[in-house]
Amino acid sequence: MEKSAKEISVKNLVKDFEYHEKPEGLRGSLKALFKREKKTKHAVRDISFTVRRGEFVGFIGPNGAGKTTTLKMLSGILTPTSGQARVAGHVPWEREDRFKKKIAIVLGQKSQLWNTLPPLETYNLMRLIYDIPEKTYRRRLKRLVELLDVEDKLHVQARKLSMGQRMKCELILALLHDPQVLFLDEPTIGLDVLSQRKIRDFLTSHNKEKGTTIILTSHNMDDVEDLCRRLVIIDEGVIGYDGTLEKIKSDYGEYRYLSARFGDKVSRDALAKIGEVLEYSGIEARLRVPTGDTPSRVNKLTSQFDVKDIGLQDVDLEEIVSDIFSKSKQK
Amino acid sequence: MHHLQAYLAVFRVQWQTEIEWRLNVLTQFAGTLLGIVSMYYLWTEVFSGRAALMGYTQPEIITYFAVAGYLAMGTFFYLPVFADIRDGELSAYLVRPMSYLGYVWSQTMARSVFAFLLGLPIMAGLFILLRDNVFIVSNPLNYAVFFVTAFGALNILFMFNMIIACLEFKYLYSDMVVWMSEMVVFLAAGHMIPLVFLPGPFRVVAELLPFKYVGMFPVNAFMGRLNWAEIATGLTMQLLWVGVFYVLFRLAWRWGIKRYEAFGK
Amino acid sequence: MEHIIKHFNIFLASVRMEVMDRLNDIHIGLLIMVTIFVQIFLSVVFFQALYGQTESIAGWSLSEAYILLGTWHIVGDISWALFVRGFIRMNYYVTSGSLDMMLRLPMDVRSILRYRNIDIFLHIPPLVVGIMILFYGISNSSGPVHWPIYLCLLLCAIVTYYSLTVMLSSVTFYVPNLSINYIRNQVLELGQYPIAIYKGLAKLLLTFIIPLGFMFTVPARALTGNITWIEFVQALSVTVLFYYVSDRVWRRGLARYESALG
Repeated sequence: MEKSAKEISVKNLVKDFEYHEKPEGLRGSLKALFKREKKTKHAVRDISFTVRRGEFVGFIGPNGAGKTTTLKMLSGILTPTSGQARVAGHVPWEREDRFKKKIAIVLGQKSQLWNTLPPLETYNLMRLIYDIPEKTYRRRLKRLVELLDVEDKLHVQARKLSMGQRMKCELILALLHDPQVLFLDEPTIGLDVLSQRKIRDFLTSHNKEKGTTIILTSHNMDDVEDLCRRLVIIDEGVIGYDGTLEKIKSDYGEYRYLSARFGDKVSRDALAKIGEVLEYSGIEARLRVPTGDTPSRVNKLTSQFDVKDIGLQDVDLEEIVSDIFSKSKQK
Repeated sequence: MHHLQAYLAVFRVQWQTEIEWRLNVLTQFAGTLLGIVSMYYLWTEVFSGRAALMGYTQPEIITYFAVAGYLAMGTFFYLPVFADIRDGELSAYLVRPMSYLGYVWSQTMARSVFAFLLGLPIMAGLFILLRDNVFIVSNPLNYAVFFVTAFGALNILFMFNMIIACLEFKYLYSDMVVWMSEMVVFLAAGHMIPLVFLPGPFRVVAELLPFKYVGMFPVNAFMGRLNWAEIATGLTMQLLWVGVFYVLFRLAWRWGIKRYEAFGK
Repeated sequence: MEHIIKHFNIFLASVRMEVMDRLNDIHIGLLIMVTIFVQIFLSVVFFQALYGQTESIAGWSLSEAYILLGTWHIVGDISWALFVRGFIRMNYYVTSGSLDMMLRLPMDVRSILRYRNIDIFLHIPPLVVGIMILFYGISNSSGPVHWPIYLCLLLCAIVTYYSLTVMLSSVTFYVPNLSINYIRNQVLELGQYPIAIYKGLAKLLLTFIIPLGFMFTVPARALTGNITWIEFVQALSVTVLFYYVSDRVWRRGLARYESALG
């Protein structure tokens, strides 16, 4: 298994959605009977990237950025408006059975488990549909169940499971046929912290041990920081950044945040001399100061003003990402 | 009067929904038309040349089924109450200063008016198509009587379904009960076949039930088969039954609301 | 051969899951079953009422009408047991996005829809009642009973029922919010009556466009030995033709769905 083998390659992928403007009011509804305005939403505008086998890539972006749409195109759910892609050696939207056996997708909101039956029943059915040999099935199931610690949940009705347990069972379902590529859309959304942790640990070990290529979308920064060495930032259908986590932090992490509360009202202009004023309310303020110069700036602040409380924060991924977005918007 | 404005608003919103879902209503009409057409052929064979059966001539029977089909389109509705109770959506309505009953009633009125309006040209077309074989009603007063009695029919069915909906408070998926009762109501109303044709014991039971005022009464009134005294009596009976069902509903609702568990909301 | 075994295994697993499911909420299942019985009962009442006015309808006596009614119920119940429910839920699957997930599986989605919604448990009792009605009709009519040809045509009827169901469900790919279930039921209900009652255009439509005649009337007549070899061959041809057409219509609709909406 070549480490450098290209598992996913995407070139100039575009996806447009057409929709009808929803009419307002009674008059609008009547007008809509005869003429409706067709509008186009450009969900994905010309994106290109490649993913090597065994990589763990995170797609981040705000809601409506095009992450889920991209995932749906790469898994064969959607056909792109234009562009090319190859996943695991196939064109996804040709939807060959052989392709389907090589991939798996877990969409956060759409459950694939039979609601009213225990997960084990659905697993058994999938075993038959995916032609998994019985011994292999048992072996894989055992391993997955142990790693995710859901032994006692297998025989419980799916609808009675908590969200965290449910997501674990969905993951098992997805991995039973040992896919080469796993697409995960917001897998930790709505889960409690402990479950999030467990699932992240599992995904990390699975990616390492099995070499499964994993593409994960999230707007939960903890997911991404924990799991993905590589980050693709996407907004309004365009890729804003594609690189490793370390690089993005070093590229953009030149600043720290300084928040302070004062005894009396201070002047905004005076604060601006110390650092970039991000928030200001008279007696409270938040400044941005260069990382290298932080100690002297702090000194200046405390010596010039009556500081009652002070706090220092590292720039976090969230800030970096939103910064990149706002920058790309300005472009 | 604030309440009246609220109900009108509900009516208006539902009306817009109906316009959006007009295709669905149209296909429903298509289905009903299929039923009417098949009754036309079937009864032609049953009559096989005879002048009248049980007091209906062949054209009259065709008209009966056509009008009954139209009436059913504007009076039989699946109420959203079951889903509201089941999914806990009801909670939102309970905190609003509007009666839930009034809310659903306004919705149902919108659906009924829409169906009746949409069906008018369709029925007109059907009658023109079959003009040689149907009994045409010429007196415009009869049309007015039809819609008045149809209104009564709608309300009886509405209240009846609201009572069944209260079952959902305790037993999930009670809309199955509606499916079952609807078939019985369909028969007892004379929609399936005019009550006079039913075998002995069934006819007796059907005559006792209030559902004849939901189907046979409006249709016969429209066709001029009833004199004014009978129409007046019928309207009174409709009013009476709406009242009875309303009281029963209030009891059922009080029983049910105590059990309301508001899952998920 | 492997293919057949695989499908048979999936069929068994699906039946098992269905039975477990029904037993979970058995009161719902029983309620549905009672409703189906009421339905059958009322259709019998209807026929009794009709035949109270005449000895024969388009040449069909009451016992022959019962043979037809029984056939109609048998075909309907077997179809509902094996596949109808899945296609009826297409609207819901499309609008909820569940269909997209079903399309991820390495198997024809029609098979998935069938297996996912198999409903044998619920439809065996009504099937039994349908058979009872059939036998009641047979017992009251004279002459020999031709089972082999009847069963053959019954099989054809089920295949055509499937083809019709698939074709109508394909509409969902074009208009996802439109529910054609009501119209579907209305159309199939027409099969309860002998096709002979229809004249002219209606007869042509219901024999060849929507082959209710071949699905129900022809098998019923075949049982009492009242069809010709030509009609038998016609029935077989219509079955094959409709299956082929439904396959094409479905694939077309699915391709459009997958490329445009997804």
